[in-house]
Amino acid sequence: MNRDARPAILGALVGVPMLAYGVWGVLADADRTHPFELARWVIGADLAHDLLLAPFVVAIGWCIGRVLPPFARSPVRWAAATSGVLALIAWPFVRGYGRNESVPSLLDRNYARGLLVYVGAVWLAAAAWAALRARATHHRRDSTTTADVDSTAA
Amino acid sequence: MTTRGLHEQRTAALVGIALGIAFTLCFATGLLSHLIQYPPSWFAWPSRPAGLYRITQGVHTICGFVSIPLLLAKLWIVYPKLFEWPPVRSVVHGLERLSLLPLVGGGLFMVMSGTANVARWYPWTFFFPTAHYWVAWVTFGALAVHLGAKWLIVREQVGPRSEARLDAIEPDRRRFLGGLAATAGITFLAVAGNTIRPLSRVAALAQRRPGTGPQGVPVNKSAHDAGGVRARAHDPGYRLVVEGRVGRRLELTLADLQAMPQRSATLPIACVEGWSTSARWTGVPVRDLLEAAGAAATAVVAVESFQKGGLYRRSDLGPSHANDPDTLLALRLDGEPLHIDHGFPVRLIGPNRPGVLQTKWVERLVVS
Repeated sequence: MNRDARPAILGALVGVPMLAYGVWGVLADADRTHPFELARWVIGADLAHDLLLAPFVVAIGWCIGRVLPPFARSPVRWAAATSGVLALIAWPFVRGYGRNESVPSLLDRNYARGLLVYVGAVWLAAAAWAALRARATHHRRDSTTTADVDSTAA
Repeated sequence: MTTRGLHEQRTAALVGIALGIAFTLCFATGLLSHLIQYPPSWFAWPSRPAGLYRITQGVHTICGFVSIPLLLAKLWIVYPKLFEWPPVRSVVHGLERLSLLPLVGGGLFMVMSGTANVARWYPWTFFFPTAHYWVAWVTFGALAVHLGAKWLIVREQVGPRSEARLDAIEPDRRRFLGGLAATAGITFLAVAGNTIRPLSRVAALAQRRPGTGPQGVPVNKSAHDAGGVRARAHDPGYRLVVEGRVGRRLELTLADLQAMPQRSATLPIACVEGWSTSARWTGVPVRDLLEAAGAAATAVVAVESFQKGGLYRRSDLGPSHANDPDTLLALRLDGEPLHIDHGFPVRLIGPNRPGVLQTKWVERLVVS
């Protein structure tokens, strides 16, 4: 047997039975799992990511690269991505779908304000990071030889 | 600086390792929680340490949240591979790509459904715990297949003899990984206060605040939602019954219970959804009642509520929990009689149990 194939075979030997057990469980508990609806959610999550979210993120990243100077690109990309992740997680909290009048202790924070504070702090940090990078670029331009600039640009 | 170079194997391997660790912790703690709630014959969950379940379930939810930026970053890194050409090079390659559907769809479903459940949002008709549990097996099985298929690449990229770190994009990669670590850390800060009390003030996305709720302790199920418990709770004909395999069947009024020796214990309510909060509970140890009824020390005790419906109207106490002196039928919370939402007149509270097994509005102990 090909030595290089061993990890893949081992992974399949462990993983395929687990996967099959999960599928069996979904079908065996069909009255609770509603297999067709569940499959729509799982496959739908994949498609929503691959066809909507990922192209959107790639497009934003590309725009940032076109519009902003090099020192600002990484900080802005990071801040945009982090804000997006926080907003996605915060969505059901901010919308308060789960609120229940008889359980006032549930979802009892101002989640929109909390999200804004976090996003604000992220952009402040990104601004500070961009300022540091701008200064570093400036210094390098002043103090290095042409050869050094070429090598950092490569 | 460009991000184009980061769609490559070493970055994918490093983020993949972090994500794999987070998912493994989620899977292990989730499986544990499932075993505690639906114990097979070979499994026994101890009653000590009292706060263990709040830790394992805190790890479960926190790792789930933190894996969201890791998962999205990982998918971003490998996204160009979705369009590789030809799409299928061989049977093995085709199977490996096919295993990505349950891995990616399952992984996204796990973090999405878990987040929705913590926020108690159910935009579907299936029962969340059952669906989340079985899809976890599908996802983790696909993860094992994927890990096997990528093992050699991971070893080549991050192993001790790897020279990949010497490549030209290492500075870009470090910046990217540092940013991702910061995002994961920020996510942690936003949610961890559910479990880690000192972080509660900054937990902008925690669904609970310790110290709120009836008598300063949150609940998941109110008396209103439990349906019809209010009238029965205040019925003067209320009796707590201890029956089954006992020497003497007991039927006790609330006054009888109040007249028995009381014991106090500071115990957490630890919800499967990750929040937990401690309070001082006072009542009659279950063990004293079992002794009075002449039950065997090895007995398993079913604790039943007068709540009519609901999956959690009954829970079982194995010998370890039934014999623990701090497993109480509580009558008081922080010195006051129980609020109806906390299970007045009598509720079960014991060390190291999921909140859903701390049965409220108790009317019967069945010994077997």
